Amino acid sequence: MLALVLAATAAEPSLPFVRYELPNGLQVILMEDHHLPQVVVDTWYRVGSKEEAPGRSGFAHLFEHLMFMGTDRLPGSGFDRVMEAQGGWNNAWTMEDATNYYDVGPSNLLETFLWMEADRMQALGRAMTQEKLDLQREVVRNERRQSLEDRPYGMVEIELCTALFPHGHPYAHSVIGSHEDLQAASLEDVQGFFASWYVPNNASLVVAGDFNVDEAKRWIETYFGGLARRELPARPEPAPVRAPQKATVTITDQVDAPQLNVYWHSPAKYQAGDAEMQLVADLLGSGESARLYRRLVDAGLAQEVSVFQYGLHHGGIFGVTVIPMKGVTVEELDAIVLEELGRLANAPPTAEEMERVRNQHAIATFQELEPLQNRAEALNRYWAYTGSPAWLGKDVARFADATAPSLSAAVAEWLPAAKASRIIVTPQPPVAAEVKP
Amino acid sequence: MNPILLALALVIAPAQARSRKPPPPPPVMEVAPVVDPLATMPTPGPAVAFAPALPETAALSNGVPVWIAPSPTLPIFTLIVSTPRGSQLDANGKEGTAAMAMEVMRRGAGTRDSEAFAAEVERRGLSIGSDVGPGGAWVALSGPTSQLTVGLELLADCLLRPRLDGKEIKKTRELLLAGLQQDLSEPSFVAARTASSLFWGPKHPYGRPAGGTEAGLGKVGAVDVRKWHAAAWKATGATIAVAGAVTKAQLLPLLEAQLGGWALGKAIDVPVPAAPVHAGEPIFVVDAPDSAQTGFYLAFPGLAHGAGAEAPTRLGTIVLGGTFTSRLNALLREEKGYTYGVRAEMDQERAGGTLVVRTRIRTDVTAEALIELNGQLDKMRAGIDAAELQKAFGAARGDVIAALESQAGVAGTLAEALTLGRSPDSVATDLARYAAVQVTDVTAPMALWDRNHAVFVLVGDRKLIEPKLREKGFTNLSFVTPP
Repeated sequence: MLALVLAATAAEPSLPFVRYELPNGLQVILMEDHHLPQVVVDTWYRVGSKEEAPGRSGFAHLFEHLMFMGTDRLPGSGFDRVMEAQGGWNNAWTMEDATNYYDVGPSNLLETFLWMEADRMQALGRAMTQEKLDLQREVVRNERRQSLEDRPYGMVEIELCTALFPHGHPYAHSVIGSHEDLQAASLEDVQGFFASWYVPNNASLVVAGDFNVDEAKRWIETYFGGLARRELPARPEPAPVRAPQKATVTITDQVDAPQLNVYWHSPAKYQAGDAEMQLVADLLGSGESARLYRRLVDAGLAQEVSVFQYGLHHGGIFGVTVIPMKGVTVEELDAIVLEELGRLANAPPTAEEMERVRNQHAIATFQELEPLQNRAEALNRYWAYTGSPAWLGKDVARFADATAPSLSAAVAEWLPAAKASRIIVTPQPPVAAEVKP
Repeated sequence: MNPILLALALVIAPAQARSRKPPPPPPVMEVAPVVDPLATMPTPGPAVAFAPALPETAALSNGVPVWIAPSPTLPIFTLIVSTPRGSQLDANGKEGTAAMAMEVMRRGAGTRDSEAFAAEVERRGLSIGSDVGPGGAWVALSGPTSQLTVGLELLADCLLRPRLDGKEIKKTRELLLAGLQQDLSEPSFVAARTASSLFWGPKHPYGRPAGGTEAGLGKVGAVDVRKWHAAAWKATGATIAVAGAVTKAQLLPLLEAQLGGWALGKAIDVPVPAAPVHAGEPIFVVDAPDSAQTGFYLAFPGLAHGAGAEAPTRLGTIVLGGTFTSRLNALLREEKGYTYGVRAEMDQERAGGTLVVRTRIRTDVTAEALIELNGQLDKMRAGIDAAELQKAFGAARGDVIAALESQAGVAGTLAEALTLGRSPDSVATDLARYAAVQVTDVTAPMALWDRNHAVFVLVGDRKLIEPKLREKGFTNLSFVTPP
């Protein structure tokens, strides 16, 4: 189980693991925990939407869906059928920098999980067909409709990319992609993407839970050891971006109230300033004693406010989202948001505020790492972004080390009013059907 | 050996060494066969037995039961106090009273006003959350174990000494109304709310939205909130479930000090009418112009908590729509590409329940999806096979174990068992019941998936879906607005 203690105790937090590399470049990270009779296999591929070719937005995510469409050895929906038949389950997600697959189930399924992951890492490409592609393309387009188009304010996520990042930047398009690009994806694209990125030297494999390390090592060597290393394509290396592309974007949606979204470029994940910006986000928007909550929601000006720092490999995004109460304009809210940021830039937060955000962050870290799958993913994430799965201690320490003046300095550096980009959603009444009796 | 060298050797050998005996055959190279380790999928080893730990049990001096699941690994805890009285105490016309009271209880309590209370909770890394349903309400305290004593003081303030002042009630009403308006832009929310109201009836405790209605919230005043709090939050029927880095010896004196004097009060018995019987209902449609998808919410007569056949009904429901390879998801998502996902599940209350199918379907194939759905529902009455049963058992077992991965999950599992009057070994009992289900046990409960006794609600773009529905024979349509 997680050997982690509160930063206040001054002990070194850690997620104990064994790490090694196969000759073909596959990174292996093993973490035992016999608390429950469960295992997790979490496979992280260092390829996400930032590696997509021009005109193929959404492809990395579409490919994630195709990874479940079967191989010659385990055709059709065999991956899910076999797993579920024995009480296991799986899922996956794609983001800008990575694609992550995880299998969860009873301990006795570990060898099966490893075989299935190795099987599709080796052989998915040659089993791909136009029919599979067409089917999953429709599923992904349904996901887009459900998650963005029919979700109130959902299209902000699409607009955000071009509002902040210049054309051609790897973050200038959304992970879900456009319908047009999804429809343009071909079978050749799928096979090329698989051959380029789904190779052992672009992946890391975490096994966590109730298993025997020696046995797991043997299985991993058996099933993954024979997979061929391949040279990886060049990755995009964009120049740092600090200025937004669009000052204001206005869109309409079938919603009851307008929404103000203000975004800035911010520090990259796990890089200098990232922790400070996360604490700034908590200080402004997390909990009922947060500054913007009190100024906006408690004062009756807004229905809700949320603030986030989203760090990525090539930079981050800091965002403030506010929905006004009836009769309050987004301009009024915008002025208050900027006023609070200016106040924070000019005067450090109080000791009590620092205590609050540090304690809340520490507790959130504990709670987030309770589920086995989250711990497996954390080890992979640390490895992918920092080169060390043993980064939990540093992760916790950077929040403990952040000071009130360093928060103010981060706000002054990253969140000037002149570098904000706004996406404003205005309500559009729907056109109802002509009602017949 | 190189084949050319081998041929040369054979040609020149007679000249080098004549012999009556033919030369021996060339040695056969022992080449190990290439074995592809991935050629055959391994067979899973034997299943690992699992015996969930029993909670420690105790009671406060006023009789409130306390279950504790100590887990010393992380220095945090979660504690849930529950009452068996929820929104069913809301007066008709004042739907939302309970929801509002539960919010306002956390907005100022004891000696602290709203701002001071939130600041004290949050600076200590604590959190106090709440929820309410028709048959109960819950307050959950979580945070670092080092703050347990203060946390319990704050929790007791919230439960026993909330200020419930008019200013906070007014503010909360505005926020709840604004949130409701936002939710009504979400097709899934509209579909669920409309179906509940139509299935149970708009005045039935399970048909009225626990979160309130616009009209109801508008009428709830300070007197209503205080009255609801006084009626709902008595020690009678209350329970406490705790998980985390706490021991019984450490916790009980602290709990006793804060909640041992909590007055019992009179038990309130709110009768819950039986569910109305539906037969041949029209398909109810809520117009959602320009929706890219149609929200489906289908409600069938289900089971109350503790009803017989709970385990086989749950496993059958999983077969229908509880996993990725379930019948419905395999058909509507993986075969037809109509949806991103579809779920079937059991929605249970103390005195009744529903079986539910919910999904979001591409607008242009709404009618086709309905035809396919109906076909699968009808097939359920023929029962399931052994492979499906095994899969459903694995999924049910996995759900039980997943809930035990976090302290909040453990506390939640214990709290539910406590409020339902179950024994402390409820987790083990559930696992044993699932394991005992036979294929034939599932057939009878699957008769519940009878669409002739169900309420179907579709939320979609009427101008696009109505003509196609009628064309495909779904002519009995009723257009409604959400409650």
